[in-house]
Amino acid sequence: MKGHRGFQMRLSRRVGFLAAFFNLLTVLVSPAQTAEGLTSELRKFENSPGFESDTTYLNKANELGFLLAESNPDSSLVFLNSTILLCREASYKKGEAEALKIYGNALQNTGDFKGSIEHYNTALAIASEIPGEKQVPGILNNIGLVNYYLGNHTQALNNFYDAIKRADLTNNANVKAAAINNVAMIYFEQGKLTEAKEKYRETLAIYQAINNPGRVILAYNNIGDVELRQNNPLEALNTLKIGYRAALELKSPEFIEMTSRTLADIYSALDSLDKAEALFRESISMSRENGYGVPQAHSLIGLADLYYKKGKLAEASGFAKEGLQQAESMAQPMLIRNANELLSRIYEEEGNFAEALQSFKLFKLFNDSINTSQAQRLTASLEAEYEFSKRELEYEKASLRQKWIIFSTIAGLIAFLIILFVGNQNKNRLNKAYHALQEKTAEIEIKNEKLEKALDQLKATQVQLIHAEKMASLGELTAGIAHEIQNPLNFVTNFSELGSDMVQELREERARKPEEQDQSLQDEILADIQVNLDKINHHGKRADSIVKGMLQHSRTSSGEKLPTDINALANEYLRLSFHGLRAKDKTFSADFHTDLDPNLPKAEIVAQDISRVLINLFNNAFYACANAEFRKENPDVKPMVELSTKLVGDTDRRQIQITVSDNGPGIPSAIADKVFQPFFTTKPSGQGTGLGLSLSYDIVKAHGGELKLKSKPGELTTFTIFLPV
Amino acid sequence: MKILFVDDERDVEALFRQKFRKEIKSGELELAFAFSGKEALEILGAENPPKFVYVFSDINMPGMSGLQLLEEIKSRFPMMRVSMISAYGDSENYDKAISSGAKGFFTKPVDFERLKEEIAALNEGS
Ligand SMILES: [Mg+2]
Repeated sequence: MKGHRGFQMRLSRRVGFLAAFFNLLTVLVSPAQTAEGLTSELRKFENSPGFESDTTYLNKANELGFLLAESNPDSSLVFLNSTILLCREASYKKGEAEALKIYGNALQNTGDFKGSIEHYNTALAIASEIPGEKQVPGILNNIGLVNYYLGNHTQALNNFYDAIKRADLTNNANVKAAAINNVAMIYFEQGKLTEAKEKYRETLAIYQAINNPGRVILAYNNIGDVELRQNNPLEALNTLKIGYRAALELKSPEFIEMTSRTLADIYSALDSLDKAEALFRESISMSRENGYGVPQAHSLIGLADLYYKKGKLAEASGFAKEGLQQAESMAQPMLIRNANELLSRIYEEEGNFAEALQSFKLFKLFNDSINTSQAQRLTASLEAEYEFSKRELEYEKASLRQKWIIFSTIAGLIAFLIILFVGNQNKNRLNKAYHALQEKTAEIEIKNEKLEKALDQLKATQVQLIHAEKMASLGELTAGIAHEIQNPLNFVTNFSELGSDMVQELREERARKPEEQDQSLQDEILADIQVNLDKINHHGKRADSIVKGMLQHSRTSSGEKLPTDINALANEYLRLSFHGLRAKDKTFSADFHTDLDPNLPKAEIVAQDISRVLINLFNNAFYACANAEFRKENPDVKPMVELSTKLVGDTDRRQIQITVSDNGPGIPSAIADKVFQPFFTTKPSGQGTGLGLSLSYDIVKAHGGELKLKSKPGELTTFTIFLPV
Repeated sequence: MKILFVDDERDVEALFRQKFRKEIKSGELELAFAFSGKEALEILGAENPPKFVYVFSDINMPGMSGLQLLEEIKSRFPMMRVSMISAYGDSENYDKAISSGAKGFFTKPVDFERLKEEIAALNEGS
């Protein structure tokens, strides 16, 4: 438990800290440069004429730009842009590619991942034109990192893989190690510890070979981390001791802090509490001095845990609270979760059950959200891994083939010579090599098959889940359907009864003597009969369309898009949703209101698919504002769901806008971007598949439209569907 | 004699106006219709005490449900006769209505004869 937790914490640091680190790699030409030094050097150049096209000047400008992009990304953009333009004017391709890449770094640091990738791609295009293509691997590695942050693991692994291959070709050891490190990072996240360790060992070997002491320490630290997670604290201890000693020798606060923290985790796992305490304290004081926010939170919580183990609850509580505060200010969900878990144990032991429960609730909250996002990442990475392994195998095959060609050529030559002396020998050798190759190929094929099988299973599971979601939403519909059919049938019954009465009355009237007959009464009765027949017809059709809609909903979508009246569809499903919930729960009470644009044109849609989206949004909206808990806490709020439709956009790009709003608790911005992810649900377990909104999102996208969420917590939540006309 | 019908289905008006055509013509009955609980309360609250002698209300309506309306009417006008007309004749709805002071409980489709008898009984009583 302890080791596991340590690792997840380490992971977030690893991602944050290492990634930034490995971005820099390819540019660090002169390591000890400062921004001030570079600025004054540039000033000197600017005194001589024609400096703008001097490549030495432009290289220096890129070095400065690089530092600025890391330290002050927002304000660096203007300077970086001017460097790009100068290089372009001077037709200095290498400088331009470099400047574009640095611009990408700066955007990445500001969180503009899309812009970042665009600039990296432009840089890549230029770098590929330059003979030698020396800058290509570094740019690929950076693109990989952005994709990793965006959760595109397949893409990221492909990028890293290309970076490794290209770095190999250009003998760029730094980039090769960085990209391998990033692959290791992903393995680590997937829990593939053996593979992660192997990759980290590769980086260690490279850094040792090129004599980079800082990164050697980093590699030891990461390997130790993996060993601790593998439940090998003794092995980890040996590894970290080397790293820690090296960090002390290097006198680098960053690495001393990092290794002492990992070492403290290891000692803690080994129950050497005093040693662990000294190291945690060292980490805390160094972090405080240098402003390492996340490490500080980690070590404070680690220290609190130590005191808890020793039974010193007051101290444990103090450090845990401080750690929690720090973790919250750094927005670190894992650390917040761990601190709350520890605090709930401390409070419980102190007999403060109210606080214990409060902390435990927070722990649970963060734990659930972390587990959900991990499950999602795992699904994504499984597919990513399949893609990656496929490429790795192809590469292996290709290089084997190449080796085989070289080998057989040489073997052929030797054979030609030897054949004069020893008749059969070469044949045996060739046979052996051939069999080795065959074995390898067979192995590769088995591996391949296994992965294909895993992917097939994954896909089958996905299909099942989608089916389950569909059935669940049909189940939610049935009660509403029953009500919506019952109502028109009641009218059919009553109006037809009335009709018979009227006919009877008319007969009686006509049985009178002609002079006693009341002509206007007869006309009135006939008009009433006409009205009744129209009503019967209308309600019959109403029931018919409900049944048709239900059948359509359960049928597999034919995928055919047909012109559909959106107002009628949305209105029908709003009622179904309302009556369904009402029939299921007698205490359910909510209001709905519609504002439908009468001039809406028909939209080309797959009606049964869009209806699923609508029923989902309506059910969610009613659930949000009318669930028992919310109503108890907010007795003054009158639950209300609003549906509106509108035609928006320019004449050349018109869109139908469908909004569904509720006045429930709203969706906190922290989870707003998660609601469209599969398996995300806030409903109690067993009440939602967590697939509804994710499928809805996919369906709307498949129609070339958009599904958007806007929420003001405490006021309202609005989902908006945009459909092209 | 004024009677108020409350139902979210608008065709209820056509139905009852036809059914009671004779009574309306002779001035024996006057019918009013509300399409939500809120509207019903507005109509009833327009005069104090209300001129209506009987309210028939649907249960399943958006916004205020018929059972909520029943409670509201009973608290404001304790003497008002209220009966429910619902497609759901289950015991849960029935018990809730009766315990909240409903006079009668009718299921849909409406049994016109029973309804007419109920209204005719009003005349005898008064
Ligand atoms: Mg109704």
